[in-house]
Amino acid sequence: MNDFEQKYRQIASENKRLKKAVGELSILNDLAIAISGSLDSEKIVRAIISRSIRAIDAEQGDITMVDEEKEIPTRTLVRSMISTSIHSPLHLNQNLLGWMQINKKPLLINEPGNDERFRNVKWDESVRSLLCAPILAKSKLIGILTVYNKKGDGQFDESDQRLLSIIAAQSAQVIENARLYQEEQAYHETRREMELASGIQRKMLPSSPPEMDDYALDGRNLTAQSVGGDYYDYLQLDDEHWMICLGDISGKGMSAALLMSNLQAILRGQVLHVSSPSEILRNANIQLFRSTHAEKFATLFLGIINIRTNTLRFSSAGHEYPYLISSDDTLRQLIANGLPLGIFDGCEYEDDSIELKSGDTLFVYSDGVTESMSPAEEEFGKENLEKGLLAAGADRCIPAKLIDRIFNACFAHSGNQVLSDDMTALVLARKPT
Amino acid sequence: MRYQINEKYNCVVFEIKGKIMGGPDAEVFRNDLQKLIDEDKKNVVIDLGKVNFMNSSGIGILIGGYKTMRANGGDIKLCNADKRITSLLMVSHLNTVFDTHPSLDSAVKAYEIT
Repeated sequence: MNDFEQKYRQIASENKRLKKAVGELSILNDLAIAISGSLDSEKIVRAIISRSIRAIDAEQGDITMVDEEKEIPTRTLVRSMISTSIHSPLHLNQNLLGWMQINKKPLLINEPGNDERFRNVKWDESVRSLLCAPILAKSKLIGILTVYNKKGDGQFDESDQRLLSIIAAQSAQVIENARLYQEEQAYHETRREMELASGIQRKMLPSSPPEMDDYALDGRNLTAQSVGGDYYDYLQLDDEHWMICLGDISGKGMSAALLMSNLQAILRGQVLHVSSPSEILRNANIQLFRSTHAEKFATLFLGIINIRTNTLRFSSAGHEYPYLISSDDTLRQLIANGLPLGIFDGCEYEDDSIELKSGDTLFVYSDGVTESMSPAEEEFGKENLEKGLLAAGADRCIPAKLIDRIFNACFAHSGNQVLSDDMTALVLARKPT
Repeated sequence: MRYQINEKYNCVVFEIKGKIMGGPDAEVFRNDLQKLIDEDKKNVVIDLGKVNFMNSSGIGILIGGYKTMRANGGDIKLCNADKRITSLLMVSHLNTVFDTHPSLDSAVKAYEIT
């Protein structure tokens, strides 16, 4: 009889264990189904918490997301809480978070006030017991799953801890995937914004070379990033005058692009009623100085050509000296002194003028051309640029062809690597007679 | 851009190595200058002898530093600029802004005179 009774108890206990195991498996299965189809991290987190509370028989639960790469990780917490009790929401305190970040293992506390590990922690009176499990993705702590207060004044036990750890482990990859998916979405959104900005910026540059009788004029701008800080422009002022300019905003990317748009608006607002290049620069400097940080500035070359008298008046704000290539195969730089725009208030600029003779070509460029870097980190440099300009022969008076030649030489020099800086050139040629 | 900060006579010398190209370097440099201002050390020399590249953002860092020091009663003098940087300063006309010296000793001495 004793044997029978013992056997009966054994079977009953085994039965109970198996029932519990089946219960746990069904919880895990249910959880897997609930979270596997979603990429919405908020939904996933809520599903995990609600199932954890039910499985462990707790009053409340939350997941604290942790970004360990942030300087102060706990500042980036996102909390979700589901409560089955009337208590106010409970949260993991900083000491427990710190413990979890260091130990990365489950934590079971049934008598918070008497726990040696957290003697100095001021516990919320309504916390009677709590159980935490780390959510680890590739051994990195990405979150902490916590349940609070075993129902019916009970205590959490080791089997609760084991089950919560399994739930946390099973959830980790899904949470991480959802987080990565959201990051990717945000990245695509930024990319779309940048593409839009790039399109807007391209439209600000002249769209096609103008039709002129005795002159040929064209420019080109290649940006190292989707938006750039280089800028060129030309504009017919009246029957006799055309304005040409080329500028370079310090830096690259969005901040340079915004400043570039600002500069273009400033210049376009000036050129129609101010006839002196140096005065245009003086006014542009004042405006840019007021709207930029000390470290941001623009270099700019600006000229006004009279196509009847063939006189080019020009002024420069710290820009690379442009080249004048003559039909007799000589070349010189137009040296003009002036500080870049936006650095100091009240700068004065100088005007200078030259006569463009038949077959003369003016080549204005940004430093991205001469600073094209070879794989061995050697710059393209002025010598190569001068060689290219002189070697162009008859192509010198066809702006698009001259720019092609120079840019192709830069690409060949840099081994067709990705551009490290914006490259811009503008060519004004007086057609040979 | 990496640099060492040394004190020489009554100057603080930034010996910069590598490339001066803007980016996060600017922030670090700004903070270091601010610390010097707080300590009332306002005579700064930038030794460019070991700089192998500087672009317009790099110039921006120097200008930012120059303006900060000048606004606080100090100055930044440059020394040992190579041919390329000298040409960059000349084209941008910034050679009229920065007091540039052929050697560190000459830059340090310039502070003694003023």
